[in-house]
Amino acid sequence: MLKIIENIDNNELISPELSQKLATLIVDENYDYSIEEDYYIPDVNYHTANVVEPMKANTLLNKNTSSSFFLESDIFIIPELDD
Amino acid sequence: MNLKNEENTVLNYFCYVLINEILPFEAKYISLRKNKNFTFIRQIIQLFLNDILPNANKLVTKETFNDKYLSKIEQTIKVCKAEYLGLLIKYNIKDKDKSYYNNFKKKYLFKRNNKYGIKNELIEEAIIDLENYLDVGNEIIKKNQLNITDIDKHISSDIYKGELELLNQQIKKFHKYYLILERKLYENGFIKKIDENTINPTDKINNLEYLYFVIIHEFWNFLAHFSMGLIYFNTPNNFLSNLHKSISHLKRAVMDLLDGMIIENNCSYLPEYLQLRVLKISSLGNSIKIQELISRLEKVFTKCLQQNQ
Repeated sequence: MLKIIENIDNNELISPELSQKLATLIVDENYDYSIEEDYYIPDVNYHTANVVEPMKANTLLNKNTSSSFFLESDIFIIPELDD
Repeated sequence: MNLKNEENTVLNYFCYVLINEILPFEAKYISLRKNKNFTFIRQIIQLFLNDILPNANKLVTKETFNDKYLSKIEQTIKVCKAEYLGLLIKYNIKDKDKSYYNNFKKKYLFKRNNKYGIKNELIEEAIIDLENYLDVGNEIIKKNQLNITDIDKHISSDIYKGELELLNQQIKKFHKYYLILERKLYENGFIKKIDENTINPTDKINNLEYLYFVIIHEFWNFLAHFSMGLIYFNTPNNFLSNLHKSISHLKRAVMDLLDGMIIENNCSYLPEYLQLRVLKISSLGNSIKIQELISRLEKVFTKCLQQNQ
């Protein structure tokens, strides 16, 4: 579990009743909000994504830091760090 | 303990995590990497549309929220945090404070095949350690947060109703046209290129691809303002002001989506569309006129699609 969730104090949140009331108003329960299955986004892998702010969008700058993987799923590689 | 207070809505927890964790993290993360990580952003937008919205008013515990919803992006958050950690060390620690760096490495990292790695369970702790050392933690958000007291007295107020229903309509419109744009960009391979990091530095992007970045930014701003309003709901006015800002970003996203796709489908010569270009200028800042503009843009776009069939 992410720390942020553990640390939530429910007393600091607006009440469930009010929150429910607001949430009910913004959602149409007859509408299908899903994104089609084909479009599932892969997990972010170890890349510094080549994406840009809109104003710089016509020249995409690719930082291109390739990393290899460790096999264990509970270990995360820290790119950009070597010495 | 009051059992009722152990639960809150899926929407509320999502907004809380966005404001207190994801947005501040992302703000620091893009400052270090100098670019937005759009795969990360898209995952969160997808989580919001696919999972959060349809269940927005369900009451759940923190644990359930974590297991059923947040866990879907946990892997991604951890990967981004590992990258963030590396960048933070590279720019602020490595050559500046050797003794802290050496201790930090000893405590949290390990090295194999010339790569540094960190165990899943140590990532959060390592970031807190480093951020405390550099004084860049998220605590300032809490400090700036006004006390939420007695807000339930506003519960009976229906002053939000109209705005929230408007938001309801605009999210559906956004979703509808976002899917069309995404389909196009999947088909032309652009999104795959983003996710797989295979865009070359010399690649030019077309209008539709550019549009994609623009509307993702707008949607991100919508989420930020809406969540801010919900989480810092200290007065009705404060909530309404954030709500207005969020709706305005969402409308902007819908308008840009429609505009972009009308151009892409070679329908920008249509007289109805030319008139809308003029209407757009005369509608600046006028919420009702902008809604009318969106409806008319939708009509032009529908006509355009029929014409192209």
